[in-house]
Amino acid sequence: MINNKISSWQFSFFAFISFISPFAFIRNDMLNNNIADTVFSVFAAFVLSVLISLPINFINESFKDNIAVRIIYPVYFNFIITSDALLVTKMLTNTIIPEGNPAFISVLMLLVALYGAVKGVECLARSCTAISFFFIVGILFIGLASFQNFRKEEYIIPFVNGTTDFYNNSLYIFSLISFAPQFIILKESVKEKFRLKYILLTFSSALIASIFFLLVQYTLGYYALTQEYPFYTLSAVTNAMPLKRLDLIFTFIFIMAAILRMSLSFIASYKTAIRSDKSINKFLFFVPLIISVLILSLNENFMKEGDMYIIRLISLVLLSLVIPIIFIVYNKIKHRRRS
Amino acid sequence: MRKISIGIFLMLIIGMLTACDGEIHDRMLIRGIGVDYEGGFYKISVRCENVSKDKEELLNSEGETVFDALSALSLKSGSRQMYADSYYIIFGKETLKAGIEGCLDFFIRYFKAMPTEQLFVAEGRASDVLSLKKDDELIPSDFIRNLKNSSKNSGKTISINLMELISLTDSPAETALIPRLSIKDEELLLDGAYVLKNYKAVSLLEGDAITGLLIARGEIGLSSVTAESDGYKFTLELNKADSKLTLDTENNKAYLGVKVKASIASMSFNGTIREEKLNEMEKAASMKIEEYIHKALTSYKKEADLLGINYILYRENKLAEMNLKDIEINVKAETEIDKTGQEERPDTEK
Amino acid sequence: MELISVKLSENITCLKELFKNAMDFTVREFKIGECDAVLLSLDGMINKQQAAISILNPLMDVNSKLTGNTLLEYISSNSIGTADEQKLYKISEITEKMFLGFAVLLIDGAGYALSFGVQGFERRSVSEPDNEVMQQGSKEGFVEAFLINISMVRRRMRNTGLKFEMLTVGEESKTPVVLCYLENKVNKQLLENIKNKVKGIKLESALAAGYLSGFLKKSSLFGNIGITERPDTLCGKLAEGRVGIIVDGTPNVIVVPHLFAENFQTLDDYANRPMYASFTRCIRFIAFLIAAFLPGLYAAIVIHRPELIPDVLLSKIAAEEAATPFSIMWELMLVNLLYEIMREAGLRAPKSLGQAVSIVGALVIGDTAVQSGLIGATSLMVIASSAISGYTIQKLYEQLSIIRLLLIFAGGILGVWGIILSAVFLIYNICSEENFGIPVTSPFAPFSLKAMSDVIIRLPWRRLKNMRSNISNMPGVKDSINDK
Repeated sequence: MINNKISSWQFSFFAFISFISPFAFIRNDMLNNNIADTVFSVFAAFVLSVLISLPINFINESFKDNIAVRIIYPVYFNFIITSDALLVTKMLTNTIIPEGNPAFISVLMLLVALYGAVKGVECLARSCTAISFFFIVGILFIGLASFQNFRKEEYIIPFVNGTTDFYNNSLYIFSLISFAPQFIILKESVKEKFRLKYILLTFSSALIASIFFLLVQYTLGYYALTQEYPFYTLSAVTNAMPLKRLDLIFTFIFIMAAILRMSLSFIASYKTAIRSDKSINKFLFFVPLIISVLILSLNENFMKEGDMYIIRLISLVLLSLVIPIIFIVYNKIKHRRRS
Repeated sequence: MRKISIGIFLMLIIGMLTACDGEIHDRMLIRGIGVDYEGGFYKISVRCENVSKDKEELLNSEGETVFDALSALSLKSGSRQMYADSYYIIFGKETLKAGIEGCLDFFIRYFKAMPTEQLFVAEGRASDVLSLKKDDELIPSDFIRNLKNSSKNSGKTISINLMELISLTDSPAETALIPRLSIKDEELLLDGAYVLKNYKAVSLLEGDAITGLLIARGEIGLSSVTAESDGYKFTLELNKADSKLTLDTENNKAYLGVKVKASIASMSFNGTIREEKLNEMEKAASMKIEEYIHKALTSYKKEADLLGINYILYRENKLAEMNLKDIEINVKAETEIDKTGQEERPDTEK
Repeated sequence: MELISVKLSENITCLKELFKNAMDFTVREFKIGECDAVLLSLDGMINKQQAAISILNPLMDVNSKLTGNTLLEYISSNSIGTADEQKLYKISEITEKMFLGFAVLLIDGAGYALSFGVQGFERRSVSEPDNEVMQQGSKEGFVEAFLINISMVRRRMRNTGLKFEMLTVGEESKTPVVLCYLENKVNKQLLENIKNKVKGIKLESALAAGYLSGFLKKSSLFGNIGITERPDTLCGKLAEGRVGIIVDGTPNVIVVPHLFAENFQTLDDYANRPMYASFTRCIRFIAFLIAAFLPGLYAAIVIHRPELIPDVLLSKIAAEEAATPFSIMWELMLVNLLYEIMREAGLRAPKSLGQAVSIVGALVIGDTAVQSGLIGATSLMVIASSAISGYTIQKLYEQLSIIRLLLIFAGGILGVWGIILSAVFLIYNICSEENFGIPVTSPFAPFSLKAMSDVIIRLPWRRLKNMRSNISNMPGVKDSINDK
């Protein structure tokens, strides 16, 4: 396992990839079929994600030594891995692999993600550079190609039904994209300050996502509302000679990003579970994998997506904000009592 | 080394155990679909490619829904259908009367179908169009698909694909046009277009009305206008059209201003075209264009919003307040002839 | 007996015992003045004429009453006409020198021997390397004799900082292995690590550079070390702080550390115009992707996602599929196998049969197999394109052959999903590789804009000379090997 420290740029690209990858798996009905408001919801979700990751700056390595942290966080990461795998599998079985066995698809994906995690943080950081490169090239290509179908008449007025959809969509997107608990754990691997770069790259991912939502609106128009995965449909109907449809490129770049995201959750789970002073037990890597596989094989649906979203949201706030703040306050009090 | 050997061994086992998905030549490569509605059943005619004979075949089936009918095709051929390369869908006239919404759902929902299939409505039955032969061979699907180019090459018809139909119908305008396919003298041609409101046909536009509509929308292609001035006939080729629609919601009026740039394609006047003559020609052409546009706008009586008035109302949040039937549309066309061509010709029409 | 005895007879007896039944062991006994002397050599290793002129004739003219060490001192200073002379104190040193083509002089009463460099063994003349053809570079390539290779490097790097350190590898073969580096460029810790690695190689015999490479890299798909047959390429690498390992008996020189991006670089890139060089580099990167992914993608798309194929092509592929007995995946495997067999046959067949092999290959695979309906023309095209693309990156040939096969399997069985998973797996695999503490994917990942000036594009020399970085300054290098 390679465990050198990584640079702030590499860490920020982790954020870029982990923020942008869930957008491919966002379903229209979870967005209340409102693409116009979603453009703004993306930015709202980005702001929330940045705010919720503020405690990262005040957490030190002793955070992981707390027994409660070493139990709660790995369970949460396990849940996120399973949930992400489920979202990806649902998207794949509804689009490119309709006859596929969902459990088999999930298992393979998790195995590859686990392989990356076993190689270490630095391997993931380097892979992230490569995947980000392919991602940016691919997304630019799809964006530019879909621009040829741009029709300004397809303008949909935002906030026409009030702001309820905007709030709901913001929270939904926020629950999917935010990766703050993982970054709290992975922060120890970064050798320098990363705040500005982190904000810059997460903003870029928000910008790309919102541009794509706009493209969906202006190229597909109301047709987009009839489709389950609007981003996928946009790439499927776009052609760029000689390619008849670009959904292959779309699937490639987003699945690569999703697998990297799962690898990050795996390695965060591992790093939280081990004690810093004990030797590495690689078997611990397989525990979240086995649990996820068992859950997915026993019950393909796992849970309704609506319930999953609520649990994700609540646990995200708890683990990114509440528990770190409690820890910081407790440490401050302890420090004052000593001095 | 051991890991690699185990990996290769596993792959060999999986490779041998895994049945392949079925090869392409075992699939039914569908090139075009015709949908007729008769007696409460959907009758499907499908053009599919026979790979080994390198020609197209026609298959028919029926069912309660479009999906049932398409699935029943496997009973006749033994192959699984492949819709991804389907070029067009032709609806029969009866299907249109019954409303095509019921049969579109399959094409929207099925993930492997491309929403960029061209849509047509047959004057009679879709199966008649698909079974039309020339020199004892079925008319190729390529030919039928390429008829969509008539819209930009003639200015007397339109083209639409499935995605555009859905998008226009679900938009505030709720209106779309589907071109009509007719068989005349054993030949296929596009003439006219049905105006659909919420997937139901409300009127038919033909010839000049379609030209007028395209001009009103600023999408002229290779349109032309023939008019008469001072006893002489002339034909103008339209190069560019800019249209602007403004709404006076208080007085229930809409103002459509169209500026057209054209060049003289042919004329029966033999002489130098002076400025006065040019002005007269421009006035005559403008009047003709307004006539064409008015023909198209008769659809407004059926609340079919061909110009996009509802979009403006939607943006101003007044969609619920106005009735399209009550809106008076004033049309003003201005023609500018910027190319006159050769002034004197040896043989001219009188 | 370890040390040389003052008694000549004891030394001769010991050496005769060591070289018992070795018919090439030559003992020339003679007298220098009144003192007994022998000249030892291995027949075929020395230039006899030079030995006679430079050593024997001058020695026989010596008319001195000196003996022992004093006589040897006198001979060394006044008689012998060879440029290369060394004192030897051990029997093992004598044998070592003899194996290198030296003649060794022993005299009665002397506690040491003298060795003289009069090598005359047969060797291949310097010629253009077959495996690294350059349009604009020199036409000289390394040969089997390491001393000549050293001289070729020395001629190009006229620098007192250029060092050659000799080590021995192989318990039986005792093959000389020379580490060469530029003292002012190489990282000391890196050099130490490499030296320790080479010293730690436990082999019975080291007959080719490939024998050592397994010890210098991890056994993984992309664990790679650099190998070159060109002295100019080696000099370029040394200037970047790398270490060359010259192995006697093979024209291939190992260069470490080696980065993945170097597989796409050739010497012609630096001799051609920058724009053209950048263009050819891009071609190579694209060729790598084609060579690795095209057959697998083809299998995945045709079998699992035919809707991605343009309709005209789809009809043609379907017609071919209908006419051939195998499914696309097995067809690709078959064509790939036939190609690999042809390639191997072309390499191993004697030159006299080379033409016959080409004809059979072209006819069998190219023409007859397609016409007979055994395989489809499109599958053949795909494998041929992939193979030709692979030739543009000769250094990755082995990896590409394996990846191509694996991806055909993955694409054929799992479809596009399998290709995606394999691509991610390969990315993880490459990115996890390190070569002596330096990430193999540098400078792309971790990214360094400065070092990228010579990866996909090649900047003009005026700017490149200021931006070329030392290998140990690459991003992501472990702190332990840096001098800081």
